[in-house]
Amino acid sequence: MPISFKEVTYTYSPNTPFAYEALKGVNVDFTEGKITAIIGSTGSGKTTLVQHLNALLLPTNGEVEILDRVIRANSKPKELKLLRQKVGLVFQFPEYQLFEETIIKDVCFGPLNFGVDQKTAIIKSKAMLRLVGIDSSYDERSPLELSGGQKRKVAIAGILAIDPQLLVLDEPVAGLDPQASKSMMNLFVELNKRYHKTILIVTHNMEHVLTYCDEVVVVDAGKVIKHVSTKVFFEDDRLLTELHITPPAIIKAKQALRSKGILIDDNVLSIDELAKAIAKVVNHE
Amino acid sequence: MKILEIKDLSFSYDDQTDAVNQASFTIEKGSYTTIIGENGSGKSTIAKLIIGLLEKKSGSIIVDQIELSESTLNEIRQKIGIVFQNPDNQFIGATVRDDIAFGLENHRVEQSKMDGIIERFAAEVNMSEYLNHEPTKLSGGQKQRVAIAGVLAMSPEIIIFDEATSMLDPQGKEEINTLINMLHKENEMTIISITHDIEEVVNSDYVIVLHEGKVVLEGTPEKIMIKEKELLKLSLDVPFTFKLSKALISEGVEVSERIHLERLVDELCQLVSKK
Repeated sequence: MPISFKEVTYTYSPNTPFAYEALKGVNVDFTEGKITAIIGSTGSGKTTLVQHLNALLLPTNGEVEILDRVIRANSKPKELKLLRQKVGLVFQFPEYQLFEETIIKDVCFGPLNFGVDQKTAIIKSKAMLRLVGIDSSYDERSPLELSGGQKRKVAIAGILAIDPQLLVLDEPVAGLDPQASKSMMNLFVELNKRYHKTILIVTHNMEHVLTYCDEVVVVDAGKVIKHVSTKVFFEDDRLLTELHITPPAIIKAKQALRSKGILIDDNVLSIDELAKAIAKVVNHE
Repeated sequence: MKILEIKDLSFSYDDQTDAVNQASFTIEKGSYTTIIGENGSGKSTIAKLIIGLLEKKSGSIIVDQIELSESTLNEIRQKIGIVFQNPDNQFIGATVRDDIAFGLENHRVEQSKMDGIIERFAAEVNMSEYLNHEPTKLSGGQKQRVAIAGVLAMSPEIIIFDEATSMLDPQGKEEINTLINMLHKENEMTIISITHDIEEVVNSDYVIVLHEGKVVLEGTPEKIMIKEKELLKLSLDVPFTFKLSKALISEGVEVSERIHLERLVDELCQLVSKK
């Protein structure tokens, strides 16, 4: 099912002196079943774009097709609850949105809100807490007792408990320690591979784009200017420079080697492959 | 010379577990120290204790030979500035100028001197042309630079960066890292940076590793960032260059550099040209 934008514009505070056009004709067709990175500098429109995916924002012009729904400009959509159950949106710093007195209640809020019965909601919520790595001793404790990283996990468990088909994550691992980031990213990969969830991740972390994402969508000045496979994206040195992107370490290493005359094949994208390729150059020349 | 001394420092949020548990370390004047540790290891709590936002349970904090206490709090706050993670939570003023002025007004700097100070530090962080702009309209990197100008205006001895780049886009991150390096190298300021960015750690002078509120490892990055087993156990990671050098060695390429990429590349070039 499609997840696509056609000529979408979005203007904040229209018809006022503060009017600001954040999206300026976005066309993009996200690939179902993939993990796609959405990248772009602060203020490029990424967050505005993803907020259209569960109709939190409605297009000023154009249309957004999300799974079995079409949302057009100038027509008020009905039954948004159904859509919001299918599209889980995790905001930046979701830990600021925990509000219940216990962790389990907080995670249950979503499923209960979507009409799941109490017993099922608790079972689901417990399973999701375990999946994100929060052990059962925490269930009845207050979210306020948790560290920042743990709160983030609880907030994400809250969205997963709704069992959305499409998961949209805005900077999900900013501020998490390296291992917590890694296990969170691996969790998204598992949700994608095993549970076939389509995942869109807004991120600034190029290491994560390279390691975990299948495709890259580049947002720049309110438009989608590129939608390519991750591999093709990182081969485009000129685009990376234009976008002020610090490439992942492995790409940097290849660039540094190239500048000293040691050429490494474009297809080499892992540390082991790189070591093998270097060993070949060192041993056989 | 020591500029900051933390001795057996403890703190608890709930009177049950100690978020900071008998932590001790010292910071040399003019050094660039990174503090790393998993989420919940006590990094930010220590920063808040040092600037007196939280009150310790036991132990001592000595800044520039003055022990932190209720009576010395104001004196010490003038010596230490802090830049937090979220640039949006640090704005008070309606314009960049007002915002930088805020700290100065708090410290009762004379009105006649204020403009000069504000303009000087706005220039230092390269934000002179934005003085009359609203902070909310700036990019993340620009907001953090304004926050840094506000801190610099107080002429502190030490600046603490509490994950100050973790919310920024790559360009913003680079702006702030460049600025931190300049403050360290050119202005010879003492920098303490709480970070998850392993590559930043590699470029610092000294690294302190926290776990469960305690200092568990400390030393130069060259010594600490190669302790793979320990770091992984602490939910941390080794630098990319370490991983690459390890893979190279297992492929039979004998390299000695373990953490600096440019040096490793130079070493490889020498190996190739020898053949």
